[in-house]
Amino acid sequence: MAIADPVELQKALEQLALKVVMLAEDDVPGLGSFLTHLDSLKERFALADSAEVGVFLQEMEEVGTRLVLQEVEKAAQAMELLNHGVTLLLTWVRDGQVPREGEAWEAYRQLCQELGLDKREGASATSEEVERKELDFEDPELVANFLEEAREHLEGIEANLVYLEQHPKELEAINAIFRPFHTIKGVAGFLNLSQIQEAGHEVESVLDEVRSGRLPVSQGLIDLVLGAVDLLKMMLADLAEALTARRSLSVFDLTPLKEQIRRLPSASDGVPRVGEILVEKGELAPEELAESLAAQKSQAAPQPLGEILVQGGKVTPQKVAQALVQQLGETRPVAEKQVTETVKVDVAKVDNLVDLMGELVIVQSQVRQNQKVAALNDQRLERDLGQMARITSELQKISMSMRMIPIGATFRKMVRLVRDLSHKTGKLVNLRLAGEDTEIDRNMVEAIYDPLVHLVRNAVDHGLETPERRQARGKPPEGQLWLRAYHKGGNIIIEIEEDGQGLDRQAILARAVERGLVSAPEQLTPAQIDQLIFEPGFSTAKVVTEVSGRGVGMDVVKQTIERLRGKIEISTRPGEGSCFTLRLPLTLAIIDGMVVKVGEERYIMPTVGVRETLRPLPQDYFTVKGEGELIRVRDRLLPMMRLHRLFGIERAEVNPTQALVMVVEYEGEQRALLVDEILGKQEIVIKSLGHVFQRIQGLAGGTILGDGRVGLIVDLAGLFQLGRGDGHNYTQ
Amino acid sequence: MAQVARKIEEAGQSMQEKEGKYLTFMLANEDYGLEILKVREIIGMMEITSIPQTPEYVKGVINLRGRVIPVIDLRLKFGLPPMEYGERTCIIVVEVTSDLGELQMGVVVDSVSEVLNIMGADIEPPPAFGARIKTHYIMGIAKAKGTIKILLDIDRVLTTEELIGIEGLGS
Repeated sequence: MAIADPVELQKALEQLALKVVMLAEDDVPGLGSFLTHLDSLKERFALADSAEVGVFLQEMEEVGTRLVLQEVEKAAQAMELLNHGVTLLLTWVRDGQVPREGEAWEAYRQLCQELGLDKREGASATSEEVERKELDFEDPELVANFLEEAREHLEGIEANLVYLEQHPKELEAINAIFRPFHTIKGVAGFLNLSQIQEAGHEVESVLDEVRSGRLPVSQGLIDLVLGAVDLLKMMLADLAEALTARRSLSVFDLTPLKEQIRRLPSASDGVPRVGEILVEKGELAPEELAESLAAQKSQAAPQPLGEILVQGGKVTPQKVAQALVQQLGETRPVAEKQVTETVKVDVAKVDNLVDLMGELVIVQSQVRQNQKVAALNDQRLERDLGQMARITSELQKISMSMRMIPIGATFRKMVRLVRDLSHKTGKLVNLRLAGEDTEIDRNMVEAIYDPLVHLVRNAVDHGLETPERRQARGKPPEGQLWLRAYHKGGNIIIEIEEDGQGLDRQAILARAVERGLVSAPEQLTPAQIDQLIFEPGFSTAKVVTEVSGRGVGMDVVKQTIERLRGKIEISTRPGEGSCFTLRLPLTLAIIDGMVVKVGEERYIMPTVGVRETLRPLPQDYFTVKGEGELIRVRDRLLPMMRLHRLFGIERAEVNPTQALVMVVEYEGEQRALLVDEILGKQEIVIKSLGHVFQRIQGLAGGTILGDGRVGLIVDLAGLFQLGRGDGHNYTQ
Repeated sequence: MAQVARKIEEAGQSMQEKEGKYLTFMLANEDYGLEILKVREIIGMMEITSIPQTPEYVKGVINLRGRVIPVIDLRLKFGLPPMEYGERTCIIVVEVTSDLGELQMGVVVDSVSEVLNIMGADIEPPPAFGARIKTHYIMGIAKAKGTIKILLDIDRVLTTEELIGIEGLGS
């Protein structure tokens, strides 16, 4: 077969060869780049067209992929195969023909066979898989519980690991990691999840070594355990999938993990050594210690250091014994913490309870407001009713709180993220958490996870500077990152603050002007400039990330927060850092609403969107071409929408000067909305209208009003669209 | 032998399937029937909150013990002349099976009559009136007590496509 462009191809191949040489089997990014390189080669030179070379490339790709996925047991052979493969390719290009059968091919083929390329993973794995197929979960509920529990455990482990990394001497942290691993292993064994059990067991035994002081707490150890956590997470994800899809479990390769464990240094740095303790106490001179240690090393069967020291007459046996007691004392496990007892309850049950509680509160108030009941004018009844009202509202509060969970779990996930980020970027980050016990609706927790990750990533990536630059600016090399949560005025506040470089307003402004987001840059206040990073157009510019200091996708963050009826604020001081504040409602289920009347119907306007309410004077009402209506509110003209017209409601007040105008705002756009009157303002429990009415424009949901009727909640976004006429317009 | 027996049983089932208890009700002087298994409860008329941008037969939503469920007027749905709601007007809450799952829904009828046990032998397939009258939501016609009961397949009366697409049909 002829080669399209031999010179180019050879160059590219040489690069590839260089990559292979520098590859290590556990260098995932390197392998990834190798694979993309290979792929682009294939495409550029149409290598796949040739039958022989095509198959050959496929084999290499597969080996590469499996290395990345850590599915290859004989990693060394796999690396060799890649090496041979690239060499073969080079020969082929140089000679202009497919290399003859020869030594190179032989070696390659043999490696292929050893790796079981044609017969996927060899016989042992298949038999295991068959065995696994038979595994069906006797008690899916138990497995589901285990999944949940194990995930929680792993999260806790991650946080404790990172803590341990910073405080290697704290044995309580090791215990806090050891215990959940032990639980996971135990339950997995009970549920017959042999691979999870095995992985758990491997890590547990390592941690036991650490606990007893035979293994030091090292970077390698932390990485290893974190790796094991990742592996377990994958296994759990697989288990979850298997459980829902009722398929068998995948087989994971535990060899890399075991291999890593085997390679851990076994010195006992974690615990002060006897020698060190003695030196510290002044019983032993450092030189003497070094001497004795050297003597110990030279021995074929090393004696304990203490014996050597005593034999050498350097210290008395009592001193050694004292030092040993001290050593043990430091490693003695700490008593376990008290845990509050909990009961697992189905979420649906809790939701149902909350719903019914809301109902009870409404019925209770209906009874109280019943005119006949009020006419009884019975003091005793009044008092009892008051008592009932108190109890019901208390009950409602409790049932609501059952849906609340502390935000700590979400925060702890950030700990791992920050650690990984700091390793990747080479920045030193000290993450501090505050208010982990702050409670938030469990639906909310899931919803804010992504924005939070984004903000934390941004803070480390772009907010904090490198240690060198920090020092150049006279700051400590370690950057501070605070994650705080607290309750304030019925809201939950989450702050992400860092003492980095702050927003670069110059760069933001320049970029915004370039993208045509602002027309008069000089008129913007600093706060307005900061807001520009939330503009959708702004974030699409990837280049600006480096320059401006803030990243991609802030508009998405803002949208997500706003969808949750929350707000995001920035405060930044150039050179000193930034703080992002998220202000979120405690729950997604309740909003503040204004009940308005239109004709015989009542609607609820979310208070967030209402700016003001007024009754226009005749001279403030204008029409354009007899159709478009405008209301003058002070010096502004706002287009008017009539709710009765949009929703087709009969018997409504049509004269604006006799009705009410609400100034409503959505995404910065203001309009005047005509309603008959306002009946009141209250907390509204949102109920879904069900999938039947999901797509009705202008409605966000329903609620049960005080009199038991259903009230409809207005969705301003949809209403604005209706008003613009680009929705499905209602024609009367 | 057992196989033969099963075959015979299966053949009888299609007829047998429709046999059972039906809740009968009146609609513009016609007798209708609903499978009792589909009926959740019968409630008196209550205030209905109308939903904008829906066809006329969708009366709106009601609060059924804290749940918001849609209500449709069967008279309007079948193109019968509308009638003022009175003392005997009822909402039958039914469980509809749709592609999106189970759904509770209320149907407004003139009045509820009784629960009847209808034998499979008394049920006839829906008559073909041609294209003029839609019969796809009629399960069959039952002869009982000297009159006929129109047995409705409620899942088909309230198809989701229709209900979900309602906003496009704005009256």
